[in-house]
Amino acid sequence: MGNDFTIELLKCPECGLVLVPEDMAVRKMLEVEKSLEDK
Amino acid sequence: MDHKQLLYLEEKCIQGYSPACTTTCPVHVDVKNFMAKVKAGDFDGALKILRKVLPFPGIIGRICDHPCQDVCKRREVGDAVSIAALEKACVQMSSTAPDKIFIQPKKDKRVAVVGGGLSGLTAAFDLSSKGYNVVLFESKDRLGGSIWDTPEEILPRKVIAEETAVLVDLGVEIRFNSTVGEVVSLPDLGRDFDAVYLGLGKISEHTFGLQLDQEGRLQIDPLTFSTGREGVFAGGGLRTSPGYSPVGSLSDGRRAARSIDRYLQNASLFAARENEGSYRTRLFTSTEGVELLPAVVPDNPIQGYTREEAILEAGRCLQCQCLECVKACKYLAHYKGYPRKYLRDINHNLKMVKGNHTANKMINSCSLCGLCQEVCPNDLNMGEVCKNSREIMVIKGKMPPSPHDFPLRDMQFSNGDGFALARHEPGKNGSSHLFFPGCQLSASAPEYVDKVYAYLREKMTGGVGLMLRCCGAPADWAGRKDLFREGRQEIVRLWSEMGKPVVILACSSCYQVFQNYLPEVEIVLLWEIIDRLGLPVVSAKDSPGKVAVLDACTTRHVKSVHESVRRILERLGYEVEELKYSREKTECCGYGGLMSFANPELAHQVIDRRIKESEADYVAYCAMCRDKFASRGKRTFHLLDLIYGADNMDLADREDPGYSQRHENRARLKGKLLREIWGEKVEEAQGFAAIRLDLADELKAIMENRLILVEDLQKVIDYAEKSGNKLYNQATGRYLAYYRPVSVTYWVEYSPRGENFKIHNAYSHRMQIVGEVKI
Repeated sequence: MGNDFTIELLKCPECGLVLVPEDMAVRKMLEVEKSLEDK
Repeated sequence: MDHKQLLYLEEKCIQGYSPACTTTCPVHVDVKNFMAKVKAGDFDGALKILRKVLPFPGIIGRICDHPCQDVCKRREVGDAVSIAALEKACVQMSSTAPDKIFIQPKKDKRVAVVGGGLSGLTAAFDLSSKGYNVVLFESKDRLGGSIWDTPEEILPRKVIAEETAVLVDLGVEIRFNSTVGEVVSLPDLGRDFDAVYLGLGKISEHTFGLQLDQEGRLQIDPLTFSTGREGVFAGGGLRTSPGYSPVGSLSDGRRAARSIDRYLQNASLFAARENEGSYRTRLFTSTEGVELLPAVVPDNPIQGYTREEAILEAGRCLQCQCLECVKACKYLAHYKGYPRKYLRDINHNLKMVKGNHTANKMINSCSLCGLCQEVCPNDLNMGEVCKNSREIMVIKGKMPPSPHDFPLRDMQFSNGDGFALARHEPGKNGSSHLFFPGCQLSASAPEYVDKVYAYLREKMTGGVGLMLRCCGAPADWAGRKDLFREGRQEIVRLWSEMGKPVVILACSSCYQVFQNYLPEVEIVLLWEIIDRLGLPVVSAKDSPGKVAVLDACTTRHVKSVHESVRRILERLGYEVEELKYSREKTECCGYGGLMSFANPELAHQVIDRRIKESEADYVAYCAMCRDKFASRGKRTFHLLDLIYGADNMDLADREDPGYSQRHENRARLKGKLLREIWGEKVEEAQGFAAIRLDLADELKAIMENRLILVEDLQKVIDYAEKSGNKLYNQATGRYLAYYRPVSVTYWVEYSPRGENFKIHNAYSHRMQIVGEVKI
């Protein structure tokens, strides 16, 4: 919905792949997604 | 919703309107709250409620002629509540002296009140409280007028004195033994005072040259209480004589005082005076299921109710409300309000520019089934409101994507190469009929699509074509008019190309879409055809079973379908039980309106409550109802299970196939029919679809909850293996990869196992990583 949000994630210094752990995806991110959708 | 529309809808919801007791009472005592206080034993609180509208509660509480009791709803289930007796108990039990007296700032106008009966006393009370200088002329040596006709035991004389003493505190000048017409004339009053109220009590020989009616009574305007002479008003027993209503007189005095107040300020005497005096209530209250209870009889009828007796009697008050829709619909009950309140919340949500749209979830949680309209005394349809609201939200770009994304993609799959098909019957180059089974029956029980299509080809001679598609209902429910229109246009195009055949529908939601949005297409439901042309399989039932019918919500108004289904069941040898909410009053299973995606917990509650309606096995003719009820543990058949399944009772325990299996079932159905009926070769699965996965059952359940499909996992692994973009966990030896096909990023934890891939975990999120921020 066009809103930005900052979180701390691990990133591989070589290939640049980012790690979003399951717990973050199904809890924090979901929470933020839902609240941003209603703005 | 524009303002006019909102008001029109709000008007339909009568919850919160005053019940009959209050509206019939000429001064509108809040009887409901009074009863609640008495029931709670709070007699002081109860008195406060009386005092809000009654200036002399000690008097009127003892002698009221209670027109409220004649309209009390309790009469339908027992005796009317003894409202008058309870008011008497209350004023006897509490000290009736008011805590404070409020007087508005003094005005320089003078009002003469003629007559110290209830109407004059009330007029004097009201006008002096408003700051006017009031002089009360009483011909006798005591105040009260006709109330002195009531015996002492009922109305103690010291109560009259105590109650009327408040007038002195209000600064009213009382002149006893001052008969107007003898001691002082009306013209005199006209000169010394700015307004006059005549509360003479009876028809007196003094008519003061005022206009009279046919019965010789003073002509009094029923709305303003004016007499026709400038500044002279009248009411009370004078108006009703020889009849006498204590509360009526009280009301007249109040209304005339209001007129005088406006007159003295040069304001309109007529504007905004609806609902003064007795009026008819708009509130509807059902007494269905209420236990019949007779009135509590006081031990001592002269004394009246004791404290305990009063509490019991007040407990019989029904606390009249409407809430018919809230009683019927779990969704409307869930948000702890009622439609008029919801309409305001929704309207506010739609009009908001900046801020939190807190009603989004509520708007998206309605199943759009229309049960509310069926039970509402004024036919208010909250489903229509919610659907229109969703359409507005989509247009404004304010519709949250997550509740509808998955079902819309499911619809897209059904209309894509994986499932979509439109063919004439082989050997025929035209179709008199076209079988449109719908996407959910095909997903849930594809074998029946095959069997039914064979049955139709056998029974009908003009050629029966087949169209596999989604009718577009999910787009309609999501408020996506654009997607919905596209889908319909494609259906009409294909249907026209095929010669505009009669479409045979096996799904009630498809039926609703065609009926409402494709009026040019002639349609018929499969159940009506089977009812007419005969059952496909003649199965002997050894013992009659009993089933309760789950009518589909999208054909709630199509009586012919309700009848056909029941006839089929009877012919199959079943005894049909009618659930409480059936036929036009049926409930949605939670799939309608996409409720189960927007609010899964609520959808579960809806089904769980419906399951309790009967112990019997259920039978549905909607594939989604069937699967959803089965998923909550209720034995539920699809009508085709009973038609084709002979005595296989296990079919009722079939599990919901799950989202991934639904896709696979549709794809396989298309492949099978193309091969077996049209003799066409179907391509083997290619690309990511050829990737073989090893999934434990627990993981399947997790994926189901998270709306993750097998094909999503295949896409991630396909990408990860081809690009090499995957994370490796040295401790577990497992890979973790992610990929975003469209709007969702899927994460899969997996290990290669020979030709296959074993899946350990899967999760997803919608947010994208857009950049890095240096801390």
